[in-house]
Amino acid sequence: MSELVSFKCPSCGSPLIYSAEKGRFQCEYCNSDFSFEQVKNADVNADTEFDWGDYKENVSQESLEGTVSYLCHSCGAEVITDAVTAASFCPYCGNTIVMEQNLSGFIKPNGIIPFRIDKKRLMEIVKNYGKGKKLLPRNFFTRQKIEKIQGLYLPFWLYDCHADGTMGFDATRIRTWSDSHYNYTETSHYYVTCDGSMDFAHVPVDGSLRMDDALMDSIEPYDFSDLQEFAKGYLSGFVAERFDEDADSCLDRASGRVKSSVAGTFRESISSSYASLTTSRSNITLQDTSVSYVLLPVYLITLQYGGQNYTFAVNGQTGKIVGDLPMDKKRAAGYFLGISATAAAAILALLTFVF
Amino acid sequence: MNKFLKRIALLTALLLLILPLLSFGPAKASDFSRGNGGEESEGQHIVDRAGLFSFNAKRDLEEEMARLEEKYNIRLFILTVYELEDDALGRPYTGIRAFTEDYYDYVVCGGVETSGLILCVNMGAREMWLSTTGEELERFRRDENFLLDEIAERLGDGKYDAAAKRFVKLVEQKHKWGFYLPGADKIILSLGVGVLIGALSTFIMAAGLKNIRQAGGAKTYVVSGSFNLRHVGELFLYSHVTKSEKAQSSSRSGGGFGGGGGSSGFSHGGGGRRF
Repeated sequence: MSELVSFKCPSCGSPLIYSAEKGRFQCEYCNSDFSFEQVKNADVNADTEFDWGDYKENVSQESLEGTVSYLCHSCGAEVITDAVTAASFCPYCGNTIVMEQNLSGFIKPNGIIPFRIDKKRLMEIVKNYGKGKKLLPRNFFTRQKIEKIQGLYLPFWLYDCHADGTMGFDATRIRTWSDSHYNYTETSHYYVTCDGSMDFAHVPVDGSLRMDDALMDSIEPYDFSDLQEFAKGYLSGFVAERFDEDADSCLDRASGRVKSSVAGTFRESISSSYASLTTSRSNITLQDTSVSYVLLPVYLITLQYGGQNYTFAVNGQTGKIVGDLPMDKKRAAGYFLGISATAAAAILALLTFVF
Repeated sequence: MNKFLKRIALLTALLLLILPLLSFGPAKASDFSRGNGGEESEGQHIVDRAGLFSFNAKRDLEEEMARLEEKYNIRLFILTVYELEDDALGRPYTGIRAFTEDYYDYVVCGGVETSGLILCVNMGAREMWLSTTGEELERFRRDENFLLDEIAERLGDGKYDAAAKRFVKLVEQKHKWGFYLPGADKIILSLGVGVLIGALSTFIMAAGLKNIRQAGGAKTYVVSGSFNLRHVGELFLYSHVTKSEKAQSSSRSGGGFGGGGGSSGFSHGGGGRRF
């Protein structure tokens, strides 16, 4: 009874096919080929799931600064990249290079949402983004520039928690009535308390220091029902990064968002009963907090205009595009003058002929 | 000497008797006063009994009004008084409107229906009336309020020369362009509002270029059905009552100002203002 053994591509995680002609293993997905020794060594694959507790216990004081060199399994070239890069391209042969130490063992992601937006669709999204924006400089989104958009898998922490809280409000109710001479208004003041709880799942916070937090918040939401078990094969053709901002540091952002939503929901649930509500006390705590580590797909492009960099991000799953666009000051002045003059003329005509 | 005094007294009595007949007021052109130097209507355009206009203004206005009369084949007249005089039968006019219309019909136009405008200013009651007839009635009907307001505003400020000049100028504008050219106030207002609209529109367009925002909440990630409001408690603290008097409906009497129309039977338009 023989046991079937399948090897996975050390670069992208896809199944390898043995080429009898070459005597090497070939990956049809990323077009790499490997010797048996390379595949055997790479297959020492720790299939452990990421656990923040284990990570903290076992991997302390990681150094994620400076550069790291890798050997391209395909052409043997030495590739130098920064310490947080988890997948990149070999500049010599173009093959995907997966930096094993950034994606396996204690830091193997719990999941990944694969790219669902291809380049063709991406082009349409970016081109449409500029449409109707009158103050955008002409040719800001040229095809040559758009084609430089890079697909990235970025590290995100997903927090699950049970939020429990009590809140106090200063509230008023207003009653009005009148007699033949007077209108009366009675304002009654109350102190209102409420307590309750809510559960949250998959509150995302990006774990990359170099990514702008607001930019990453803006490309939400992701559909987490599409979250897949992590496999390196998804990284083929894309760049990936590992986290360099840990889950404890990011918890404050998640906690702030959760508490804000709980407070808002409490307020909404009682607001219809009162004329005014002012929060006077809020005590919301997060319980049973758990965190998972995932890679989420993002397209990024940075364009220059007027000596400034403008970064745009596209949600690689939903196609939602965000990014602040530059303003063409001459066009803005033109529109301002044109609209002002037209409006002034219209108002003058109205005052002259109608009133 | 006595004989001379008697003659003087007789002459004075005679004058006192015929003076009311000579004074302006009756329903026939011949009954209106024609005397008193500058009050002659023939060939003149201004009768300034209230002495409102400066010499230079009168001179300029006379020239300008004559030019417009010739150019547009209309009659233009300005009359100022301290009080409304009685008509030929000694009856007081009930309002400035009838007084103005009769003056125009009988004194200015000699009882012949003539297209034109007359502006009458009664300083005693601080009121004015603008009367239009013939083609001018239709021409000024739609937007005569503007004309009235423009004149009344200046009269109210004591700028009598300016009021008369504005009247003449607006009449010419209406003939020349079919509408009144906007004044500086309207231009400034339009420019101000225009600039505001321009700035607001540009601001909205500029705001459309930015869409990066820090997430404030996590509602998208609430587990469906997990919200559990366990308890809501309410503690009454105090209340206070305020009362305000009901607005009483006020009735405003309509009409009255201006009084009834003139006695000629000619059609007149126009309107009046107090200032």
